Amino acid sequence: MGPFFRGLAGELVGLVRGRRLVLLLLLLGSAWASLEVYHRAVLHDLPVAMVDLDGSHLSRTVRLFVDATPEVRAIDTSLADAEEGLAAGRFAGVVVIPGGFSAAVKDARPAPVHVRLDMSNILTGRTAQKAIARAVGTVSAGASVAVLEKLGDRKEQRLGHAQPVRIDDRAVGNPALSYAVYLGPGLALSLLHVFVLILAGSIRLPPRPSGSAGETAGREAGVLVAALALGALLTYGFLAREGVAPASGPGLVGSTLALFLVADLALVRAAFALVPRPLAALQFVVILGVLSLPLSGLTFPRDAFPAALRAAAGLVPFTPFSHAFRIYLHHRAVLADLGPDLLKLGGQALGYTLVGAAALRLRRPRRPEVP
Amino acid sequence: MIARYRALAAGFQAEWRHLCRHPSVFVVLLGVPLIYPLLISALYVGNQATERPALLVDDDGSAASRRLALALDATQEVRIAGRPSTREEAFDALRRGEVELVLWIPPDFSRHLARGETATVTAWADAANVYTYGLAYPGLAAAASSLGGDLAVEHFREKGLPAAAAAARAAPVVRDEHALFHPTASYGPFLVPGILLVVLQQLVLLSLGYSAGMQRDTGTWSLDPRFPFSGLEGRLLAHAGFHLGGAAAIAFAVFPAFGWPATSGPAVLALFAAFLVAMSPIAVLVANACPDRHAAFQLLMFASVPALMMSGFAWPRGAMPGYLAAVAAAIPTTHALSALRVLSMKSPSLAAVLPQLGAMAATFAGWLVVAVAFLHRPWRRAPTAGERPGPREPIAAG
Repeated sequence: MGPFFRGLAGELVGLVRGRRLVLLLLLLGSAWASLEVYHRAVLHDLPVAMVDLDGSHLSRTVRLFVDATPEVRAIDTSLADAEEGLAAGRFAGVVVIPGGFSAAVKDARPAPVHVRLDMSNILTGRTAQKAIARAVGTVSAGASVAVLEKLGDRKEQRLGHAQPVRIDDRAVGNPALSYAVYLGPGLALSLLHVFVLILAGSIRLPPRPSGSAGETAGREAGVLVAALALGALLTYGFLAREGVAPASGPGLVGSTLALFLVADLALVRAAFALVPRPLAALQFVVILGVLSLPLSGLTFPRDAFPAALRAAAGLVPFTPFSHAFRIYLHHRAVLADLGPDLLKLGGQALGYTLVGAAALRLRRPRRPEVP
Repeated sequence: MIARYRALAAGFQAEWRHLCRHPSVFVVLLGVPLIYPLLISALYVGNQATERPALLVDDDGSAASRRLALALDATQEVRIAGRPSTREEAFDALRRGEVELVLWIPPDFSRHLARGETATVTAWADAANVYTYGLAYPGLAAAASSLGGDLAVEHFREKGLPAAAAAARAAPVVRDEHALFHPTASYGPFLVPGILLVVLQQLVLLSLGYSAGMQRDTGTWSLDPRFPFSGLEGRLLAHAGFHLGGAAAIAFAVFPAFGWPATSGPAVLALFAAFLVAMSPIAVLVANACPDRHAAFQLLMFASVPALMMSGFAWPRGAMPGYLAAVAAAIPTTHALSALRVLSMKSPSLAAVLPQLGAMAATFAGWLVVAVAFLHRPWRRAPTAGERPGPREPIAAG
């Protein structure tokens, strides 16, 4: 068996033994746990304290509409308990309907509903905010329509006069606004990215030298094959379970993943060529791997980064890959749609390969001249 | 008892000697709490992603549609990046991720308004990023609401109502809304403090694991076989000053420099210190399991993301599967993050986080029992006198 195939077979067989098996289990376990956190996908039944000091039909309507939203659950309580519960984190928000509320509405005076939101967690705070705003807005529109009826508006015009402009909101790519869809792919595939960097880096660690160039290439190919298989498992298994099955064909998905992994391998090669000490090189690639998710812009957009970090983020393979997988997961994409990202990945693969080769050449001791 | 303390002191001294001979451990001890927090903080210093790019397709071309476009572009949340002539062009850009919102004003928009009917505009928003969707859509809703509100007031005025009454009839019920504890609802202050605490978690686990692995690699590892736990604790104590220094740098330098919220720097530091103590038995177990210098970096990188996700710091624990919340409850990081949320945004008093400190104490006690029991297990291999384990094969071994 040639050195390449020896390396390839050795790497694949080694994946189910010893520390590499532990690594594999850690990858799968942490991906599973991270995805399971968001399995419920959307937040609902967040507790919101309702303090109705008016006790009118209108105030009870407000309470009914707030409670009818799936996101929040109205809990009737006193003002003191509501304040205490908000500070303690028991309530995501407090809605206080003051005394005289319905009278103010009848008399065409400002009739505020007091809303206090716990924004220390912006996820729960914003979810409660949207739900309460929707409920109060609906009651308000209804009250306007009732007045328009009394003012003699025709039936078919009342809603149009009360709410002249309406938005038909189509959430693309994630209609349910699921956090599993939002965060799941980034979490799972960034963990795969870290796994590949560690595995590829570990090939080059002493005290066991990497062997011949052919064997090293074979080992890298083994990492590539294993990572492709794991990428497929994460995409079509783990993510599909969370409702994030790719909308694009497996050919496009697989080739994008493969190009990303090739770029990752080239990055590791370059890092080990540039950084003289193998352990330091491993530390560098591992830390870069862990930073890849925040750098990618998947959670917080890259256009909000400082310019230097935005540029640095563009050099990491996970960044164009994350842009690409957002497209192929949520749209029936064709090659042209992913063109810019695939070009970036290809450019990175080539660039890191050239950088690595140049660095190795510079480090190689010169042959003494023969007199 | 005296012998136990001798083992602890011996571990401390051995670790100091190792640190002085192998400065690379300092790279971890100093680099992790300094460089990582600075990088993460720099990423999120923008705090809020504003001006989300949108495309407007206005097939109506009326004064009303122009008013809506103007109102939308004037919002902080949305920026009209282009006005393509067709929806298809706009959809292509949305699919390629070049914009996050496409707004279509249909040709009968102003006609509906003139007839007193509700005029509908259609918005396609990229919801794959729920965060930016949550910024862009409210901006659009506010612009539409503003135009709709003005038109409603105009209609009530036409009905003969005075201005104040017309405004009240157009919006009879208003929200007097206040966002508490974190009024700006910005992303950086919400998330970064939690990430910085997880950095401390990784520091504690990595530093001792790396050091122990390196010593095993070089054959200089020694541990009193009668008191392995005390020996490892002594070694951890040698790192403790650096851990505390890193925590202080984060609490008193990084937090204020980047404006991350902290109601009281000393209270945050006290929490960090308690967290470091709570993590110590786990750090001892990890160090015991690291056979070489590479193991810590190879294996511990998978600890940070799940620890943060499962903690409830972002996604509430009540919304997770029960078994996962139970697993998270056994990790000190979960309770420390809950306490940090309170100390960073709600209260400067440690009394406000007594439940979380109690939970951390309970996890510390639990892991202490596990660590002592594991390290002192009767069936562990008895070391020979003066045993120095030789270098181990790293992961590359077949």
